[in-house]
Amino acid sequence: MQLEPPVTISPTLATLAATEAEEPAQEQSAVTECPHAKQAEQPKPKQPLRVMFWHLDELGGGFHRSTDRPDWAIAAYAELIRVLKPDIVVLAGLQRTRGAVPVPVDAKVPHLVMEETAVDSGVTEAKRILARLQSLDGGAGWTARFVTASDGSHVYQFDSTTCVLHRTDGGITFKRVEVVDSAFTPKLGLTGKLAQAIFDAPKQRDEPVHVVAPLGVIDERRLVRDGPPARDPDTEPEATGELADTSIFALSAPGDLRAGGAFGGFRAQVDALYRLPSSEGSVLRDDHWKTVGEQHGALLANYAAVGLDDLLLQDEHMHWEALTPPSHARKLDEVRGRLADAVLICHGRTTGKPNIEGLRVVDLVRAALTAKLLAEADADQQSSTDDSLPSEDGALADQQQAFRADRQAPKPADDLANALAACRYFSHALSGHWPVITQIRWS
Amino acid sequence: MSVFTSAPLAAYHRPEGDTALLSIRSSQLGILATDLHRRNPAPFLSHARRHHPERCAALGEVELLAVVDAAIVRGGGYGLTSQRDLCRFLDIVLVIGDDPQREFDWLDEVLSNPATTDPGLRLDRARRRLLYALEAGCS
Repeated sequence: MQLEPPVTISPTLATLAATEAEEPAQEQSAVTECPHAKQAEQPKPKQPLRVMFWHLDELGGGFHRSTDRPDWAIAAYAELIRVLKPDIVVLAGLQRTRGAVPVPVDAKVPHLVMEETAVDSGVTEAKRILARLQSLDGGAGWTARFVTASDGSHVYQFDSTTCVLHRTDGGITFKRVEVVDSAFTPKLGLTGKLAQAIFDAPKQRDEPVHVVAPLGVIDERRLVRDGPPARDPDTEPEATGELADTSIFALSAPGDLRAGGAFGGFRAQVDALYRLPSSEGSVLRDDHWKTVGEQHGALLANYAAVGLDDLLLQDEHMHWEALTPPSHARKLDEVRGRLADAVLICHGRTTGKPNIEGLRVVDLVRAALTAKLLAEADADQQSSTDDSLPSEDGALADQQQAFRADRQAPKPADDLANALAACRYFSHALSGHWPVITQIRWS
Repeated sequence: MSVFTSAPLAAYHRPEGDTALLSIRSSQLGILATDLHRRNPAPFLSHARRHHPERCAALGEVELLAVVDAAIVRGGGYGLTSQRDLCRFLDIVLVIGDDPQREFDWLDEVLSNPATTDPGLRLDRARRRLLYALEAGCS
């Protein structure tokens, strides 16, 4: 997915960023080393640590999604994690469902009593993902950790929570999850509380590894409609720890992270290592006719509502001669979106800086396309993979077929634009946000 | 040169019980290091030419030397004494140039922020803030 508007990098920024990326030359020692001196033993190189972050958009139910995700969606989440082989996965957007439910009553006369309650439906869904992952990737020893209070109850901020999955076969051991106070910046997705998971990963780092993400998420639609959510100090969880000076920090914003200067200021504040901005987005832009349909309520017929993945049908019925024909993406580099999700590598020290070997958005359209369609849509072979991270190409093609079968919708005309639209539709059914994955290595 | 460190040198003291012959404080050591770097600007000139060729060409040899010298002195004032840190400070100086709009005045605050005791960390933070500021201005 390409960012819209595209990223531009000034020569000044490129020059300074190049000097930041380069490891400075060793300073000349004032003392010449004896040629016969015994060489000190070189420390064993550390293994890389791979971390994935995915905002699963109302997992467990919300205004736009049901309480239970279909089996193909659960299978898709687990399959993508299996293919990308992360050591730690942060899942955000786990909702709890509020509502009135019947409660058992002990009375002679049968009657119905309803009680307002909250159900940990997002946590239940996360456990379904875990169970699927354990069956797919049995040897990895996957386990899930949630943010819980001392009484074992799940901790939420704005009715959503965050969980961490990690594999135990590589010697990574979980220590604890802390709640940490943070700034409340809704446009960056900062809810005022962070979940900080602490791991011992001796093969990757001598010190504990801290993985941080906001506790809960800010809902984009509510933010637009009602403004920032009101905070209630009485119900907010208490902080149980402090933010580490070195951490892997994930965040998911309700809007465009690039809008305004807040994201840059925040990255400087948390000592995030600098990387030149990438051209990848993590949230898809709506299709032409979906946008038209949402902006013009007086449409006589909205064929986008009939089939989001049949662009030719929409063109046929919704376009008229006076309008410029809409252009649809027929190549992968024509798929447009915005940046809402990021993983930052924060390091507030001068020594022991981790090296970022890979950091990118996982392309769910590439993952959903079959090999044949991928070859057509990506004729220039602009693979989104780099050397350090596995490819997601075609990983979810089976789940996309299951999604199509589940919908029982008429098959759209064979066209590359429709095929890409179907993949976008499928990716949105999984989550509005695409995952971000990184691989880092401490020296 | 790495012989200079920011910590006082214990080697200049005699063993316990004797009168100390010479004691050098960190600030004095910094001044000595700055002086040494000013006498040998070659590594800084080489760094500047390698990473900022266009700026160096625009400045010319004489002015480049003056910029490097001024950067070493100014960097020393911020507690930067190692060649590595001064090269990284020189990057900032060469990138923002004269800053006639005083757009980057905040750099001085970051580089002399007493809340962060390590001058190297202050420099890291200044560079990152500058990078993020430049990014916000061009994207």
